[in-house]
Amino acid sequence: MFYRTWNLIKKEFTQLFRDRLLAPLVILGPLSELLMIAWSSSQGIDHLPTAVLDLDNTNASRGLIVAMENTETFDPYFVDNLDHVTGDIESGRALAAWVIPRGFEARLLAADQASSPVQLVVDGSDVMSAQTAVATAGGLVASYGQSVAFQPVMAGAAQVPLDMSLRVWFNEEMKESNYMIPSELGFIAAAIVAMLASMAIAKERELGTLEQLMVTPLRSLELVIGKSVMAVSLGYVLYLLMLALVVFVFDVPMRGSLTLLMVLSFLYMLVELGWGLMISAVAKTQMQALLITIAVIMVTIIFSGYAFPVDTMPPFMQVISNIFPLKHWLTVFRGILLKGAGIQDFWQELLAILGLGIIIYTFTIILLRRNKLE
Amino acid sequence: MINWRRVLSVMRKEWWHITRDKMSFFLLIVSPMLILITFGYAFSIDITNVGIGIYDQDLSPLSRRYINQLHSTDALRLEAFPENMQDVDRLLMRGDVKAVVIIPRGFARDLQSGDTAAVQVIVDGTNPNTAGHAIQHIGAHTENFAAKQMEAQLRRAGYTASLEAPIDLRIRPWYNPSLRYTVSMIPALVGVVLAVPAMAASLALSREREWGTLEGLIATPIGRFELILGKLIPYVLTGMLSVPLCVLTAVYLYNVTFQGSFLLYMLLALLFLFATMSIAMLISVFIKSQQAAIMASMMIFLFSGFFMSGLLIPFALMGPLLQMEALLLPTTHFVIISRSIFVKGAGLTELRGFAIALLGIGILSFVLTSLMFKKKL
Repeated sequence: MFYRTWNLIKKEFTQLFRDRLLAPLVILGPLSELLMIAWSSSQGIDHLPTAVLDLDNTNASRGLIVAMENTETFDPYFVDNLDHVTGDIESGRALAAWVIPRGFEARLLAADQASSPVQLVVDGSDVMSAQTAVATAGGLVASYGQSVAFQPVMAGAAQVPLDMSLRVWFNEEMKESNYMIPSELGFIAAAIVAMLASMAIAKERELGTLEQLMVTPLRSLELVIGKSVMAVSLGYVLYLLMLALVVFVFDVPMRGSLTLLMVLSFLYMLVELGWGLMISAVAKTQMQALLITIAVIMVTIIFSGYAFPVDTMPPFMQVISNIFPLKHWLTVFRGILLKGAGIQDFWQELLAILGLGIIIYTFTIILLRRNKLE
Repeated sequence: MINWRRVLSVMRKEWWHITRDKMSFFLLIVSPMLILITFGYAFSIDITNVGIGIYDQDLSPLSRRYINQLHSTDALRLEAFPENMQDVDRLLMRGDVKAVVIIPRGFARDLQSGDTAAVQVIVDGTNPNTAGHAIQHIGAHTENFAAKQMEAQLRRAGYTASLEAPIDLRIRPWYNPSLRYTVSMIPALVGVVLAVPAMAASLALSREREWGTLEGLIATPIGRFELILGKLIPYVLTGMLSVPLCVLTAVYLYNVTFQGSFLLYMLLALLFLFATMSIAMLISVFIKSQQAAIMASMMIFLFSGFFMSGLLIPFALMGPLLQMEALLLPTTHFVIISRSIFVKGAGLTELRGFAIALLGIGILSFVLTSLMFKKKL
């Protein structure tokens, strides 16, 4: 039996390397996605091109513009009339615009303390930039206004009554990339394994070569194992490559045990392989396998907390999310990487993955039995 | 010269091939919608109700009032009340709470005597979005609480003037008055997901080659322009079926108002699909096997579509090199078109440049494909 399986594995690898583009592309694809995620999550939304119409042109208004420039969120340039502001926002040349009306300083310093108005226009069609602009502007205007208007009165009158000292654990600089890159890594290797496995059997079926394999003494279990070894070894090599890249190049902290991570990720990959095999039991062509895998991956992404946290979902979705192995795996994975967690911290998640693995494989075997392989 | 009868027969054959397999056909048409729903959901979810823990060492009426202030809105949920630092540690490690507020002994005394009282906040930074939310809201509540204490102090010191904010910031968000994420993200996302059917098109020539049926085609008198055109058109038509589905999903599921002209949208989507499908054909000519073709088209359409197209990072903020690369992607142009028509109600005059770019990319890749395709095995 081992001999037969071994021969099939050799055939798979011969086929893999004969296609000179496949192996490089399988490795290049996920790597490129990882690079793009790393780039886009480290790219802050800042230096927004900002039109400034300063109708006041006083010390106070210039002070506000300097304070605005110092936040690095805005890259101000001056315009001299309102039409210019409107035109620039419409055409997308400016993502935000400030209008400081005449009499800004006079009203700010006047004794009656009526508020001095300032207008901020943002392009709401690009909501990422708009939100950043609005959030920064609020704090900026409040603190600038206080420093100009209240300072003289408050000097010595009172001190800050409550001080909040903040400490961030695990991801001290709150880098988006430290969250997104591990998610991506935890997810993509598994997705590749599932896709490779599902397409491998579908390919034989589509090309009619499965028939030839069926007339050999090879049994279907051996066939499935042979195909799986190829998918898993390619996926695992890819995974280790990306892990090295993540830790050494992108400086994502690796605080837990590397050995533990490597062993657990291998086991997790085997569970996800089950998905691929299940799809291969139903898909008749490679295109079908591809499209079903995409559908499965999309549903998994919704529920797994890959892109947005599970605990902010509606309660019934939180319950459903438990049937996706990726959800538990991401907790384990982020725990080991960022928190240095050990088995005592996440044994429940491991049990859940194991249980789900057993269920997935049971279904896979039933489906493979029923649909046979012909 | 192109013989349209031959093109038509290739088209018929390819169309039959796409529709014969009912399941693939169905999945092909709904897959953009499925991805739209998935990621649209990710963009429409609001972070609320973040669980926090409170370690109150002071246990005074004033500290209780501060705690009440913390959960006066539904932004934060009081999840646990640890009683020692080990508990705090364990809660954060397990991820049961995202932040812990520690109110030290002497909190009330310091506040009342006019000294600065200190609270400590420990945040789990693993997910910067939730962490940011927790920090922002704990900070706002704390500031609010402090402001009330401050006012009391100022009044005690005999200060009588108004304490209103000195500058009144009036925010005017154009096109999207309440700055909803979905209004801006969903239309852009429609632009990205409509590139997905191109992934299936990239299999068109590789499949014939894998099956050995390319040989049969080569033996016929059909010209290479005719063959590629005949393969291209059915996929573009299939893609066009997805466009209204996606627009309807955006409008009815995510409540995004469609401001512009639907006819113009369909027209420009046609150009976009022509451009993406032509690129898919180009991939198909270069790459011999279906599996490899899938990987390549995933990189170009799915990954680059998400990250380089201006969906997440505004085009204006990219470096010049990345901008050049982004301009070669049809998705970049269509994301802008989709946003402009959906949100701003833009017409053809504003979008002329992008339409020409799409047409250019499409024709260029189509001609390249036809030239690269040798009628050889």
